[in-house]
Amino acid sequence: MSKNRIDVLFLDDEENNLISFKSAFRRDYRVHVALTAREAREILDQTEIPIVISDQRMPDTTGVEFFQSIIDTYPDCIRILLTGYTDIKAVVDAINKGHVYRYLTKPWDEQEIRIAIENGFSYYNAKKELREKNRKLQKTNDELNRFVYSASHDLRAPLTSIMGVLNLARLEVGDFGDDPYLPLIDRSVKRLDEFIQNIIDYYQNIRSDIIRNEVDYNTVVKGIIEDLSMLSGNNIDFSVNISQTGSFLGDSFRIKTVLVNIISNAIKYQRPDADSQKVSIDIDVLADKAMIRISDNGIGIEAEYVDKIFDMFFRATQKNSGSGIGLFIVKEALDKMGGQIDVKSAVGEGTTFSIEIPNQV
Amino acid sequence: MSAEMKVMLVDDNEIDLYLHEKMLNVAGISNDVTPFLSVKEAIRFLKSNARKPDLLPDLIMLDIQMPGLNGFDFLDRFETLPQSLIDHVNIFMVSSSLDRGDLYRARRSPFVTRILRKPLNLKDISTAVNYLLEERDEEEGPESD
Repeated sequence: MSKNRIDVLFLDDEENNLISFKSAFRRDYRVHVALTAREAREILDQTEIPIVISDQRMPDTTGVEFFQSIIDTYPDCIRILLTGYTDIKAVVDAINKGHVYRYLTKPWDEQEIRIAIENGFSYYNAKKELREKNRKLQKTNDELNRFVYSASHDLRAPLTSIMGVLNLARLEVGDFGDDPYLPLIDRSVKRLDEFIQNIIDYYQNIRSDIIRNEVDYNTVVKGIIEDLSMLSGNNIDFSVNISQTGSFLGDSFRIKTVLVNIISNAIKYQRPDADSQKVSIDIDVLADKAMIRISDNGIGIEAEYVDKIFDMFFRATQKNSGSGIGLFIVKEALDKMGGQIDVKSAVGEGTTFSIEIPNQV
Repeated sequence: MSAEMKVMLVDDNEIDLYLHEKMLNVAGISNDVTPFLSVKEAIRFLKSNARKPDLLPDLIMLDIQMPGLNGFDFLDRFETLPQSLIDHVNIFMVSSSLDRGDLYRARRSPFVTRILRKPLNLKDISTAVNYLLEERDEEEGPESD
């Protein structure tokens, strides 16, 4: 029971005031009393005291001076000043310098003090809780950062070794020779790698700030098509049309993330039986934005799914190896950049994504 | 010239060391590859051979994440080596890291001429080395006349 009682420190230079304060409140609170500022500080050093009440007029120091002296060491502590009606300067100082929670007039009213203590204590707890929650949140955040960093390395490192071995095998026997198993391993490993890369992309998009650098869409798209050549083989007929005369400033990482995902989808969701598999990329860079259109003549998306394709882990088809996170990342990245995306699709005919990304010039 | 290139590999992963050495052989870039499993060993080697250009590598392929000292620690120590050695050697960073911070740091280092991603493929490493050789020919061209 006594454990739940609030610790209150009362500082006053008159012995009688201390005695009457103690007798009025000792049943409800754990009352500590001090005759001097030094005594009061000694008590604060030994016990965690949420509420400190001080008289203003004392011979050695004023109540405000005392509060000022403990603010840095006990910032959370709730300070309440007792002062006479006429002492307006003390009140002003108390607020500006002593950062008091309340000031109460003398002679004090028992009920008023009780309310000040109770309210002050709730405030004290709320502040403490908030601080504690912030600390925990910060810790969780740091841990998450470390986790993603090490996951991106520790998961990917052995995987890249496997991919490296497969590359070497491919070089030595010429595209896996007659081995029926290696291509299967190769496919699964690539799928896993893509998933890991997606997760990392997503996470880096959430946590990192928008950066602004020069973006040359020709170079970016060329690089992406090269990177994706493993995926596309030589079967895809790319038609790239980029008009960029002025400069474009934007977040090159996020822009690349958006384009890689959309273009790799256009490659992945082709119709195997189509006469020619086409992907066209049209980009028009204007002074205020880049307008991007990426079309394919692939399998298309069923009308009922079109609204859902940007949801996390949604997959419209079993046909391919998607993880269901790619377009979700695209949407998130565009949201961060203040961009937009729109999709039109017809089953069996193809899909067109229209994207706008603001130019930060 | 290129097959005579001396290459130093620094990577804690033995499979990758093996793979990269093979890759350099197959690409016709180097038959003289020395693998090091840690930054400490690699730096010790460079220090003790700093005045023997015949033994120094033309190219160092450096992994980023390694236990103990990592690739960036290597660069810090590399900076304190004799200038003649620093001028002699080119560094490619090779990593499976997708961390933007790492990539950014690697790009900003004055000693890193290329960042290659794992898994290393023949085309990337060939392009990077050819670029290096062209650059070197341009620099040395007028002098050799």
